[in-house]
Amino acid sequence: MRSVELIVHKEVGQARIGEIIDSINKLQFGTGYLVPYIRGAEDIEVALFNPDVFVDGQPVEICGFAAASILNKAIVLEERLKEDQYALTFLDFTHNHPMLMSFPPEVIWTGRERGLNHWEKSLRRFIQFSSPGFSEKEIDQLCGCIINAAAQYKMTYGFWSYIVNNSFKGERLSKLLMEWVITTATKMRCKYLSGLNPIINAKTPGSVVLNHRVNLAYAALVRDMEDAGLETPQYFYTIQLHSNMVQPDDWTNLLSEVVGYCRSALETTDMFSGIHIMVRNLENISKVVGRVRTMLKLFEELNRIGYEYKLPVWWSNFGLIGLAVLDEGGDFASFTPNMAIKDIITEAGPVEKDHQFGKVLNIHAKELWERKQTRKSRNRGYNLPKLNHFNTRNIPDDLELESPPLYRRMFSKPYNIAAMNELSLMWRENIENGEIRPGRHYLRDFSPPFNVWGLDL
Amino acid sequence: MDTLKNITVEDLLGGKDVFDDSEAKGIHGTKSWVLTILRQNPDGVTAKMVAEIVGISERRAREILEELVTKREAYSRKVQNIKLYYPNGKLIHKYLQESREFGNQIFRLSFHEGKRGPILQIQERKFSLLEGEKVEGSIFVELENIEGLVNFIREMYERFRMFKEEEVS
Repeated sequence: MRSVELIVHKEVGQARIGEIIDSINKLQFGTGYLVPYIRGAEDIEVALFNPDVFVDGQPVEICGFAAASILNKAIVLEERLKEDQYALTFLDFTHNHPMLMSFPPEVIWTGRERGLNHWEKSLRRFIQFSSPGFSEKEIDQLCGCIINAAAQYKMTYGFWSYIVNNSFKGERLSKLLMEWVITTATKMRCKYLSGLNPIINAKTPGSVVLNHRVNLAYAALVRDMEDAGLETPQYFYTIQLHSNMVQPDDWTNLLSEVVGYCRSALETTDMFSGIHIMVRNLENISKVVGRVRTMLKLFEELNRIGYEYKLPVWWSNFGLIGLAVLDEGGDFASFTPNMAIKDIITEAGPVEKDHQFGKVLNIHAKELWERKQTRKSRNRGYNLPKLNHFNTRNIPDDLELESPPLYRRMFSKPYNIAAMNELSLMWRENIENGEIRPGRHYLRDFSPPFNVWGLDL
Repeated sequence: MDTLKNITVEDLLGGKDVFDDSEAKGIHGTKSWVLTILRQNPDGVTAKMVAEIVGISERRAREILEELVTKREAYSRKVQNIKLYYPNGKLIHKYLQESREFGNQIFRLSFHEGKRGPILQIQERKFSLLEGEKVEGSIFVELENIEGLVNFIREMYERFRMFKEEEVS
């Protein structure tokens, strides 16, 4: 049963500001925001110790593959968080911020070790709740089956054929996996869910239909559980695109199919509460203007569907490009606190110490600064800007400048979240004032690769 | 891989009936299916019966039934050494079920079809980082007693307040 309704208060061009009314969860929150994406343990630590860098009540996206790491970190920090008058416990955080759980496609598609390790931990942690009655040995076997299949069938759809055609103790692996996805989201107190779905790849046209059916299957499972009175999150129609789906100035038949299936799903059922989209390799797409134009059309097409059916459209892991998303009518665009637009779960970080510090957003200079720039500017007394809406520190201390984890946890990530929220609030003010496409206008003179999203080159 | 087009929703979930895009007939999650079977059999079911219908092991069926007992969705009784599970009423409509959080306490209220008419179930739940949201306990109130119970709670609350005021003075 659809419980979510999008009410639009203000429209300027394609852009819209409004609110979500969620009658089942008794929630009401604004749309037209850049929202943080919690990728793992470090991000949740930053979020819990720095609640003041968030907009009150703003939704947050969280990575389902890293669910166990996130929860373990929350457990370890629980006592310290309770003692810290400025911090929030995980439970309090979920009260303040409705969460959407998503499953980035690269984990299955690339089968990289780090992603699979995270996934295996989360599978073991939550499968006892989604599939009670399996012994420890059986749980080991079941997790082994799923993880080995993902490791074995890289860059193909073999994983999906495998889980559809194989069973464990009489139950189809695909069903056990989908029940795990739904239960993990529920146990993590996520109100909304985007599925663990196959990536859509131009080289495999059948992946469009497969993804659509996986969406229908999730929705059917959620409805069945809801009907029985069991707790479930609200499910979003999920679209995860391989970058080869985005060709320069070419609106392909496959893209039309993706949009068409999404529309038909929303038109024929009330089982979806929104649309959630993720696109891999945005950095590469940003290098070709024609591909950016194709993406802008995709924004327009999918956002229009959300608008017609009064449902939110959520663009995942778009970083600063989220400003262009909002201009074209998106309701939410998530960003990671490290400001990257790469895969959510990548292999271990860079070996070079300088790169381990990550980047920090300077919203005035319109640049992403590395540590050496932050240090240089500090020495010259020209610091990162102070933010109007958030009272966060804009200068790292000596200790932070020497330690990558400290720098990220104590300085760059909290600052980045605050700076992105500042941009989000500025965008909203501009829209309230009737300005057309303020996000793309802002990006026009940002440092590459983001400037191209302003177009008019 | 054109064969991907042939993977249907039934293939993914193992539903037995025809599925079209608007109706999810015959599609069941394992837990909800067990709960449905339980509710369709007010005279009781055994773990073995459930296992055969759903196509899962008896141990798994028993674990799910026990979980439903913990959640107060069901209760069990031993009849001549056989453990039978009975439904604690059937949810009348999903619209008639809602949870609210009061600080750390979560209450879920839902209306069920009882043996003698509609009953209100009040569940107390708690969230823990280790186990997620978990049912702590629940009570059932017959429809005609709801107002009386609410007044009783108010009366006791008032008495408590007066007691506290007197204590202070």
